[in-house]
Order: sequence, then structure tokens, then C-alpha cells
Amino acid sequence: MTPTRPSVEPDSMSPERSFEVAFRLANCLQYLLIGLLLEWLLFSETSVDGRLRALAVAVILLGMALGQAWFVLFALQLSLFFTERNQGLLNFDANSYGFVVLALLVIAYALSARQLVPAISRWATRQLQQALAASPNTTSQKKDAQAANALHLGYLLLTGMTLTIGVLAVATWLLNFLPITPAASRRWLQNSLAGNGVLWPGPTVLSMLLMLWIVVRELGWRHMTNSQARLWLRSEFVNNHYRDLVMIVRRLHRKASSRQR
Amino acid sequence: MTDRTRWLAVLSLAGIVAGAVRGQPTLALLSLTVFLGIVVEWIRFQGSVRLGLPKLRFERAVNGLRESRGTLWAERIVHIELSVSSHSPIAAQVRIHDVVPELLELHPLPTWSNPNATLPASRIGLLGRRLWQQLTYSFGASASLPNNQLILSPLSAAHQLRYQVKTRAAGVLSLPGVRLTLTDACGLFQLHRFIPLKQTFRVLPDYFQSADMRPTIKRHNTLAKHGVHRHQRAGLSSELLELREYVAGDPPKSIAWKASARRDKLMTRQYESEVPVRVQLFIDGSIPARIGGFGKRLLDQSTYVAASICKAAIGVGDPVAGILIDERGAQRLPWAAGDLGFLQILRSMADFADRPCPLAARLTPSLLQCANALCYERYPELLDRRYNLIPPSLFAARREKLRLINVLGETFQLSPLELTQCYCDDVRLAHFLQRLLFEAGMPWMPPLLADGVESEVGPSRVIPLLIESLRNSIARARDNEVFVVLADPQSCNRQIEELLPVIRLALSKHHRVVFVCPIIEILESSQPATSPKSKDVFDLLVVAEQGRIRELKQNLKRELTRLGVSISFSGQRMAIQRVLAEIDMVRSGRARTQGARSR
Repeated sequence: MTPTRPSVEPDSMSPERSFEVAFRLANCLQYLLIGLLLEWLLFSETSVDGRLRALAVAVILLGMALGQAWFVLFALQLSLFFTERNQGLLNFDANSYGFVVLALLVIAYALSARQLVPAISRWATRQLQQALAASPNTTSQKKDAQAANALHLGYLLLTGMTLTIGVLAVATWLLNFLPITPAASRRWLQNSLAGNGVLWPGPTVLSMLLMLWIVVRELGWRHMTNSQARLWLRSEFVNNHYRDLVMIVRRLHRKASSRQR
Repeated sequence: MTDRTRWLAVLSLAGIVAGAVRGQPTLALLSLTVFLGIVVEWIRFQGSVRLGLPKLRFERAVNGLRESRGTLWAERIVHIELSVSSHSPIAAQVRIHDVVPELLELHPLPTWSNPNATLPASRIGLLGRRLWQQLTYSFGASASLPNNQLILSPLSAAHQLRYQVKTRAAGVLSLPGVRLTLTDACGLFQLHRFIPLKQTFRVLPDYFQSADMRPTIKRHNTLAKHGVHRHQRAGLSSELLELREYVAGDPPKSIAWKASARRDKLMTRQYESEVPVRVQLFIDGSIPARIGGFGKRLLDQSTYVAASICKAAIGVGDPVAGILIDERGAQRLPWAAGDLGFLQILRSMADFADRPCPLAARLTPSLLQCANALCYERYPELLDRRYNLIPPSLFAARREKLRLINVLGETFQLSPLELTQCYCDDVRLAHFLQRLLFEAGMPWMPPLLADGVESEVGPSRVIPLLIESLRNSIARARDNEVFVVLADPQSCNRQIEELLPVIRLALSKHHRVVFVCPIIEILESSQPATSPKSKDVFDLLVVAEQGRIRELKQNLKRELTRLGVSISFSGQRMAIQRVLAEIDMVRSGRARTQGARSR
């Protein structure tokens, strides 16, 4: 309506054409590498046709691109289900651990693909651009930002590796501890008989689980906002007295209708 | 927990069982590790969020001001800066979305927004489009967020989010707050929160800013009629009005010595000054004038023209008054002069532009959908199923509706009985949903207003109020005032027979009447369309409406110009110039010749 005033454009940077192309290539390269790794993990000891392998890997990568990382876990589990021999649960060797670590890394990558893939591509493309540029025109502020991003990326990777190894260790201990193998079952039976017939370590574990459940639930309740608490109270009351309230509403409606007539 | 986390958990538990039963250690180990990883990630996420979330601090500055109330102008760029700081770092990814109401438009518009894009008709088409968008996001360039959103990972220091918006129309603007989405690094867990950060602004209507809005092309070559002169009164100009006898107190320099010597008594020169021309604005704020998106309503055009006329008139010392008319009644604005008076009139127009809409008679799926989307944006924590309990139901749509009703119950503090009434009565639910959308700043258009509400209203109740207000103003008016009526052309055309007598009354008292009847841009067409652009229903409707509007314009013009009343169907500069030309005519004492063409 009015003559447009000169507007101040927001200070946003749009990537140059070459950066755009290199960025997209880096994305595709990452998916390609993950695809090759998946192909090796899933079909290394099988004689599946190459086309079927390619199709399966393509479907998994599509799922990954759409943010559905459980495709990867499902594929790995299916592969192990059909290819792994029945060898007793305590028979872990270096190959098993190696496979599991690689698989976990791929699953973790797939879970954070939507953030991690662009971040890695952006970092790699910038490094390449700086390496190729005759006179790098990055300001010190941009360099600091890039360094911070790289540091954050490195921190994420390190945390991920540490957690993976820690969880793997706990999982191994649990599998050894639980009464799944015949030896573990005999051990549990002996401990239970020694404890006057009470199923060991039932009471201890149950009490601990109960306490943990109470603590978690309490924490959840105490972190409710005021509006959530009011909402819960109101909806709980309505649910508990739903039939009575509906009866009252219908009666009021009938009275109002008869008055109108 | 997100859906994919549930799938992962289910698959990992199934893998543990399968591995244990079949004696496959790698399968069992992998599945158990994934399950334990989910548990560990949950603990980390909860710890980071519960400790860090209460310590987040937000502060918003609008055009550099941090006060909770203020004033803005329509059709201007507004600079917003949102500062976020945290005393305790949050390891999760934080997506910050500063929610802006419909009255504001992001500037510049996001690259992905295409107002002319058409959605696919079928569900499969829609799904395909969404899949393609997700794939291009995964393989394509970095996704661009809208300007009012920011992703921080992690949030450890202070950050600023700066963006610009443009106000679309006059009214009352309320910036509600900030929507947060916290996600862990793997995307397994999500937490949504809305942090209220309310700031309310009155948006004053824009006006045409130009040095001289008077037409530069000579329009009428008429001489003043005999006996009709400029309106003159005593003042301090340099033009001589009359000579009168000297009275004690007159300044000695105003004594006309020669005339005094001739008449043998002291005579004083009396100078003249221009009489201010009083302008009265009658602004129609009925339902038809308010329907449409912000910036595209008839009321927006009317307030723009009215504000421009005010500015031009007050700028040369002419006082302006206004009467704001809608279905609820007529609100009289006192005579205003000077900058302060101009601002008071603008404030009244801004408040007038923000009125509650008529209540809906029925619940529509689009109303439910829109309300759901709004609640997801502004009340995400209230949609949490752990706290939003509902009576059992087999149908997902009904469950969604019941959760929405619970959110309404919390928002409007309904009693359990009122809540149950909403469960059972769709009309009552529609009223509350409409109120929710209106208070969130939605314009008067579907789904806030049901389709066809205009036809349900019946003959305009505003025209009788307009007639009464005109009659009262004529009764109180002094000489030669200008009445500017800014009204919906369809209401005027429908009840023109009732308007004509009061217009004749005004003209008989030597007042000027100008009608400004803005028309929606898409329906304005001076050329008769021979055929529509396509066989699309929308194009056919547009052509039919354009034909009807053309007839309506011709009829109104014929009826009003027969009486010598000016009419303009523009909501822009032409209308302003027409009104100012009429004011200038009153000031100069000229009269329009009978039968002169008006544009």
C-alpha cells in the first residue's frame, strides 16, 4: 500500500554454487560408504545374488534417509538370524565383538544421520575449499565457528565410542549373568537352593526395580508443569465420574429443550 | 519416546529372545546392547533436560524495546531479537521457534514457502510429495530454517536469534512465546515445551506518505457561482475581510487611518483567515468488511484511506472526527486536531480492527484440524498422553478430539461439567475452538469462520446504524462539512434506497458526501471477461463474481452521481485524492457542475 521502504536484508549466507555441489557429493559419498559397509556386514558370508544385495542395501539406505534407522537393526538381526550358527551363548570371540561394534556404529550413524551427514559434509567441503583456495578468505570469526563445530563433532564421536564400549561391556556381563545357558541355569538353581528355596536373586532384584520405578515416577511427577498438573487433575476427575457427568449434561439439555418448547 | 525408538526397543527385545532361544550370541549381544543403549540415552537425556530446562532464560526485543507493551505500524518492517541463555548447558539439541501470529509475516518469506503452490488432491500424492521433500532434505543442500527458528546443539552459552517481520494490517498483535523442541543426539527422545513470553502491541494503520496528495492535474474548469464565496471569518491573514468601528483593545496598527479620516471616526481593519473544513469519517466494520486475510480485508483498505485522509486534513489544520460502526453499534470519536489527535484516531481504528468474530454454529473438520495444529504449536506439553487422560474410545479421531477438548479445558479453566458439555455438544465445542483461534490471532476466514457465514447474517445491520449516525452528524454539523463514508459496496448497493434520503439531506445542507467502497483486488476488473482462464471452479467463480461486482459498481455510481455524490471503488491513492479534492472544493467554495463524470 505504501511505497516500500528500503528494507534491511537479514544477514544470512547462502552457499555458493560450488559449495552446493560439493556438499551434495559429500552427502552421496557418505551414503555410498555406509551402503558398502552394510553390504559387507549383511552379506559377507552369504551367497545372495548381487542384484538382491544392491536392492536390500538401497531399501535400507532409503529408510535411513527417511529417518527410520530401525531398518538397519532389522536387517542386521535378520542377517544374523539366518547366518549365525547355534554355538552357545558364552562363545564370544573377537569376530563377534568386532561385528557388534561395527553394527552399533552403523546403527548410531543411522540414528543421527539427519544431523550428522550434513554436518560432516559441510565440514569436509569447507576443509576442501580452504585447501584448494589460493588465498583463504575466511575471517577469524568464521574460523572460530568452524573450529567449534569440529570440536563438537569430535566430542560427539568420542562420547559415542565411549558409550558404545561401555554398554557393550555391560551387555556381555548381563548375558553371562542371566540364566540362559545351562551352566548359568545350574548356578542360579544352586544359589536358590542355598537361599532356602527362594528364587535367587528375585527378591533383591524386585525390590531394586520397585525402588527404581518409584524414583523414576516421582521424578516424572515433580517435573510436571503447573498446567500439566491441572490438566491431569481435571481430566482424571472427568474420567472417574464420566457416566455421572454425562447423565447430568443430558438432563440439563432435556430441561433446556423443554423450556424452549 | 519417538515412534522409531519404540520400533528399536521392540526389535531389540525380540532379538534378545530369539538369540537366547536359538543360542546365537552375536544376535543376542547386538540386541541387548541396542536395548541398553536406549536406556542409557534416556537417562542422559532426562538428566540433561531436567537440569538445564528450568535454567533457560529468554528475552525478546522488538525494534530494540523489551517492554511488554508498545506500538507498531502496519505495513512496516519490524526487527525482532530473541536472546536465549542458559546457566547450565543442555547437551541435547534445542530447536527454538519464536511463534509469530498471523498478523505478522516473515520478511523475507522463507524460500520453501510458495503461496501459489497447490497441494496434491490424493493422499498418495501428498505422501509422495512428503517423501520427496524428506529425500531431497537428506541428499540435498543444507535445509534452511525459517528466520524465526534456530537449532542449537548443544546450548551452552548465550545466543541471539535475529529476524525481521512485516505487519500485515492494523489491530492488536500479541507475541505469545517460544516453542522449544529438545532432542537427544540420536533422535530417540523428544521433549516439547512452550515458554510464555507475551508481548502485546497495538498496530496502528498505515497511511499514504507523500508531500502533496492533492491531484496535480486540473480536474474541473468551473468558476465559482455568483454569490458563493470562500468561507471567511476574522483572523490573522493578510486579506482584508471588512472595516469596522474601533473598540477599546484593538491594536493601534490595525486602525485604517484613511478610512477613519473619511468617516470622521476611528475604523479598524478586520483581516480574514481560512475556515477549517471539518471532515467526518464513517468507517464500516461489519462482518463482510472483516472477512479475509490480514492486509487483504476491506477494513484494511478503509483504515488505510481513513488514516491517509486524517493525516492530510490534520496536516493543514482541518479537524477530523470519526464514527466506527459495526453490528454492535456506533462508536463516536471526538474531534481531533494536531499530532496527538491524529494518533488518538489511529489508536481507535487499531482497536476497532481487532474485534471478536461471530460465534460459529457448527463444528467442521477443518476447525478441529486448525485448532489441533495451534495446540501442537502453543500447548505441546498439554498434549502429552501421560497427563491428558480421556475416556476410552476405539476411534483415533475421537481420541484426538477428546484430548483437544481437555486442552481447551485447561486454557479456558473450564469446570468438569463444562468439559463434559463440550464432549457431548459440538456447537459448544465449536464456540470454544473459535475463541481459541481468535485469541491466537487468526483472521476472520475459514476455518475460524464457517463458509457462508456472510449469507447467514442477512441484511446488513450496519446500514441503519450508518443512516442514524449520518442523521445525527448532519444535525450537529456546522457549515459545509465533508462526510466520508467508507463502507462495503455490497451492503450499500443492497440498501441504497434507505441511504438516499439521508444523503439528500446532507447535500441540501450544503455538505459534501464522498463514498469510498473498496473492492477486493481479485474481484476488481474493469474489462468484462469473455471467458475464464480455465475450467477450474475457482476461475469460473471469480469471473462470475467480477461480473456481479461490475454491475454493482455501475448501479451504485448511477444512483450516487445522480445526486452529485463522489464515489470511489479504490482502496488506494485514487480514493484519497478524490476525498482531498472534495475537501479542497469546499475550502475554495467551488461546486461541481451537475452531471459531471466521476471516476
